[in-house]
Amino acid sequence: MTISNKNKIRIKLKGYDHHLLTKSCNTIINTANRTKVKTIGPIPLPTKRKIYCVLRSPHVDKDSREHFEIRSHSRIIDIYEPISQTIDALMKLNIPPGVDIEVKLY
Amino acid sequence: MGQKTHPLGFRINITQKHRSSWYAKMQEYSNLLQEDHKIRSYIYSCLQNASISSIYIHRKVDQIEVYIHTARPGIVLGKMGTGIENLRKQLVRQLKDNKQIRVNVIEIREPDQEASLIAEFITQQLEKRIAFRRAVRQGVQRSQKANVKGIKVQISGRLNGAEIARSEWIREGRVPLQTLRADIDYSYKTAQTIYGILGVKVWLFKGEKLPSSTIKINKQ
Repeated sequence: MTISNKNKIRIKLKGYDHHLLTKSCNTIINTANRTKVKTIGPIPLPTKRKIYCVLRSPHVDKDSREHFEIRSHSRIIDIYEPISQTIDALMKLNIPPGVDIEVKLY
Repeated sequence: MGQKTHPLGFRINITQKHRSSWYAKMQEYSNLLQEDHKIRSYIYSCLQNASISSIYIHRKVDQIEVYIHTARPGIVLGKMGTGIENLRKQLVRQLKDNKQIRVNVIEIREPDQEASLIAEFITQQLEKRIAFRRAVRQGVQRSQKANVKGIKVQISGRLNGAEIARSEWIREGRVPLQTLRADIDYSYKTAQTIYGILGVKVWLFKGEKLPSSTIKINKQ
């Protein structure tokens, strides 16, 4: 497996809803594949869970509580040797709200 | 017996959509949440007569899209559509941030299928000092004309100005609160009367949402 040392784009997608995330990943991969550059598919990173434990009652009753959690899902997509068409297509993409995208150029 | 959970919060991601959908890092989360709260409270206070049922806020990078679901879009839009522009400018001024805000108004075709609008109707009747049973029955009849499969209304407080507060409820049809896939709309509004506050809770059952076939394919 040769890993090209040339420039690559790393796209990191984060979201609370994994259905939305996979849909966004697929749109990005499809647009990248249309311009025929090598993409490494959505790599799932571990899901981070933040758990909040709250008292149920407005007053007293310390033993009765409720747990809420926020799950942050994240995926990585690598695009190797991108051409300007790819970058243009990616910039024009319409991504649903609820997905946070970070792009880094290496 | 125990207490009942909030049916909307219980069904988020199942039959309920999130009213604010955005992702934020933990450092900015609280600020964005405060902004959302300011937007909502400002819109509700400005457009009290406009029968707003819900406000959805979507955020993309530095752009805020606000969707106002209302039964009377005419009042929100104002004369010649100037209402929205004014609202947008006031919101930008409220937030004190230079973010782009887009306001969209979505009309509700059947206002009697929204729990918050029926609750608002009942509270308005109560504030006009109408007997509570008649007010509740009018609300229930409205929703039944709109073909809702079940409705339950609970009123608590000094009913008809009595000295001792009590709580009464009326149910028509079926309202299965234990069924997760039941599409239940819930709302709680308060009526300010000369005797104090009356709390009105409305549960509307609009039918069960059976899982569609696409979700099954994803799981395989």
